[in-house]
Amino acid sequence: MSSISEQTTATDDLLDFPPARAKGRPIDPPLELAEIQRSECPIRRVRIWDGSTPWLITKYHDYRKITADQRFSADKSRPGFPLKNAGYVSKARTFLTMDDPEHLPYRRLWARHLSAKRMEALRPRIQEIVDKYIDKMLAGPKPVDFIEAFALPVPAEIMSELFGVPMEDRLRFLDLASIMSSSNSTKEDTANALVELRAYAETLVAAREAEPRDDLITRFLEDGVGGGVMTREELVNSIPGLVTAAHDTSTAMIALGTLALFDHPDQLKLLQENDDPKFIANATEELLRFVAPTQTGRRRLATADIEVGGQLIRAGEGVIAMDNQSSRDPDIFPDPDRLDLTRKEARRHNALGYGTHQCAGQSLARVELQVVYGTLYKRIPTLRLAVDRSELPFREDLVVYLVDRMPVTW
Amino acid sequence: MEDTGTRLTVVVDQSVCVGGGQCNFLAPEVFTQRDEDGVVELLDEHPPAEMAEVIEEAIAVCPSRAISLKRQ
Repeated sequence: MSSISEQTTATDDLLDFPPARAKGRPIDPPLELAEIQRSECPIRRVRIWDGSTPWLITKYHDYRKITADQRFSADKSRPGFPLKNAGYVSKARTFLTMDDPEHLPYRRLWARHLSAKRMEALRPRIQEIVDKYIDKMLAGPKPVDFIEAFALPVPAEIMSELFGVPMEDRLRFLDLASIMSSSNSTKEDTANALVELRAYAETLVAAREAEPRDDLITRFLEDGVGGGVMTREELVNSIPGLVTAAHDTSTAMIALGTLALFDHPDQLKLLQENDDPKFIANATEELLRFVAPTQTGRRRLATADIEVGGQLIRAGEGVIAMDNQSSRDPDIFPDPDRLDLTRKEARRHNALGYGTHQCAGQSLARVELQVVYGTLYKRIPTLRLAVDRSELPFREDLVVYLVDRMPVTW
Repeated sequence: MEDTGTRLTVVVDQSVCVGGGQCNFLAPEVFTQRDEDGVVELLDEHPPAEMAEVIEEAIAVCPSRAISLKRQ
């Protein structure tokens, strides 16, 4: 029982998680994370919004050990699970919070429809969408809000086509999703948002039942519900999370990746001058590594006593494994805080997670981001911020780090 | 084959694969994903020796540790 008393006496000194990002360094993870990672004692407890004190994981190998080990459960209904925010509690149970073997059939249903081959086949269509929004930007007034003109509508239109969510509904949908994700939302806010999101997903599913189309919701109805992998209710419940996952993350990578390149003109120049698909693919991985926009970490609960990096984590204790800081571990990535598009080990990052819950839409993300990074700066070579960066409204309260507005000119 | 002296054998464990698809992106000549469930499938069990490096990379990034490589 000494561990309990140690914990009680030590809580006053604990870091409140997440700490704020440093002023003037908006792309870097909070500097406290690097300090902890590079200290003698890199696995430490932190205090989160509900007062609980899970372990913070920032070392690369510790991150991978935890996310690959099913004894670290993703089931948020377990007592003591380190929840991301108040809204996270009320979200329906989906495959995202299941453990294997239960999780695997769901996962494979997604893997089937979002495979590298299928997403690669969408590349020409994605290129058309990217070019269309660049044309629109170039034809319109400047400065313009890069988020509204490009970073939001490009993934939105791709996602709309893929899932069959009408473009005209997406703004309300995103508002609701953002309420669900924000640590500033009250329980009442998230409960109301959830009711509306579910109702919307229900309408979508009912519409495809009545009239099947060539989209993911129709295919999930056919293979998933029809094939006995998931119930209709599970499909309805999984739609809000997956649509937002396809959205926020790409918007964040387009906006924050662009901002990171503005900070590194030599790297931006490399992208502008290079057409080699292998280089663009590697550059995309390095931008993923550098930005790693999921800022609340991967949450797990230990279901057994397990040693990680010399620290015993006991059954019933929570862990928060950080995508962003673990992707800047100097043991794996030399000079980790430097953006280097030619970095050999770039794709070893944890920006998309690791283990069985690694991003199910990663092939879509790769193709989409490769097209954006390979096109945008060549077509608008003088693209730049139109305001001082201190005026940019960053969102540290969301699961996925975002910037709400980003005025640009060229 | 004689001049390099190394024969590569790629082994995949389909039972643990989660269909991330990174191996397919890295070496589409060697790895693909099954149409019915996105699970890894080998197109070339014995790729040329010069592919060892890219296969090692696929091993390093595979989220389910489903790939291994033997050199004989």
